[in-house]
Amino acid sequence: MEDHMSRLFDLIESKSFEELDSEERSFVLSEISEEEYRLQRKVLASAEELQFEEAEPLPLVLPKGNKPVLARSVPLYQVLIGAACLLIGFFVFSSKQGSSIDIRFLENPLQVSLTNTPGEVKVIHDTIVEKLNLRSPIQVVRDTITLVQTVFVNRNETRMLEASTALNSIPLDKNLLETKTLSAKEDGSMRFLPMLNDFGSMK
Amino acid sequence: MGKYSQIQQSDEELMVQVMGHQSPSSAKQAELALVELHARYSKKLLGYFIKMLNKDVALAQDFVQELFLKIMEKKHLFDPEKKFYSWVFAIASNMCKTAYRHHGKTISLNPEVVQPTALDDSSLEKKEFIAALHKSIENLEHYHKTVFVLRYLEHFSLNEIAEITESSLGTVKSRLFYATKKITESLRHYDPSFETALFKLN
Repeated sequence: MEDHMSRLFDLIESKSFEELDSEERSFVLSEISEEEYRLQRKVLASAEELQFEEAEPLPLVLPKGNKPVLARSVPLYQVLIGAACLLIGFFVFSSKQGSSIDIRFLENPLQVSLTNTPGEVKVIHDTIVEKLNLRSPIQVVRDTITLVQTVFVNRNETRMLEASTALNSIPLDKNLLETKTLSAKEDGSMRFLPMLNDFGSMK
Repeated sequence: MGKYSQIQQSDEELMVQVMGHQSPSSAKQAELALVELHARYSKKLLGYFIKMLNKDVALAQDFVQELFLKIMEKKHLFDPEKKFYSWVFAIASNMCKTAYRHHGKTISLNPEVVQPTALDDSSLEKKEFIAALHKSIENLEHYHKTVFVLRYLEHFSLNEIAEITESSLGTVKSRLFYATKKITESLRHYDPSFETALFKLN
């Protein structure tokens, strides 16, 4: 198809309809009409006579030296990385008075808070206060369970009255108060015990 | 290297100087080379942009300036083995294509058919024909318009157009044929028998 269009184009550009030989004429007429052939030639001839507004180009303006930092275009990924670093840095290095992350455990209530010293975390359990130096507050959130173990396992002093963590406290409920033993009358094994009356008659 | 010797250098040699800007001392030389390329090509590029951008001269001026800034930005993409004009006109064509996408300068599916008003006044009909031809060229789709403008308005050869558009010679010819066919569809009311009297194909 492209070969046909290419050949047709060559003929239109180079020959008038009258200048076509018989083979070329039959080829042209198999593709387009004589009227269209003539009109296309007319269009090409007219196009070369078209006039457009003449204008002088403006002088070239080149940028002077390096662009200021703010004027430079920065790739988006670099902007995102910078913003993330700013956020992390702010989070790591800034600390407010009294800011805390309250992490509660059902059995061992625990409070974790950021101190005024960057990178230091205060862990409070009941009346025990531990200060730990951490790489980042993010570690506090991510390693909370490890942190609790650090407080309780590695501490050197223990309270006098503090119960051992190994002790499993039994929840107090009414089941504990219920008696589950049988009365002497109902207990079938009582017949194997000597009767009390017999003790009185023994001399 | 003085200005006189720069005038003697080819376009490709000048572009190599622009590419070779690695130190402050060569920066001045690169700038002079770019200014010389601007002197050689700016008028032709301006004419091309005027024809491609529907005769908007102010926009065409902006495009010329922007094109030379792009040359500086993308100088590393220039292949010194190839011709500078084909590279710079390829950039120009792509800028026009981008402008069409952003500003909606595409053809309408139903091109306007211009009806001649005075069939007995040949000079008036010729004027109307020319006006209709202008309009039809403006309404062409980007690929057809590019090859038509480069060939018949900018007078590039078919091989040069193939280099600029990075397509084969056959593709260029078929696009030219379809471009002309599209134009004739909107001009079919004009009697081609006037051709021999009023128009001559060079």
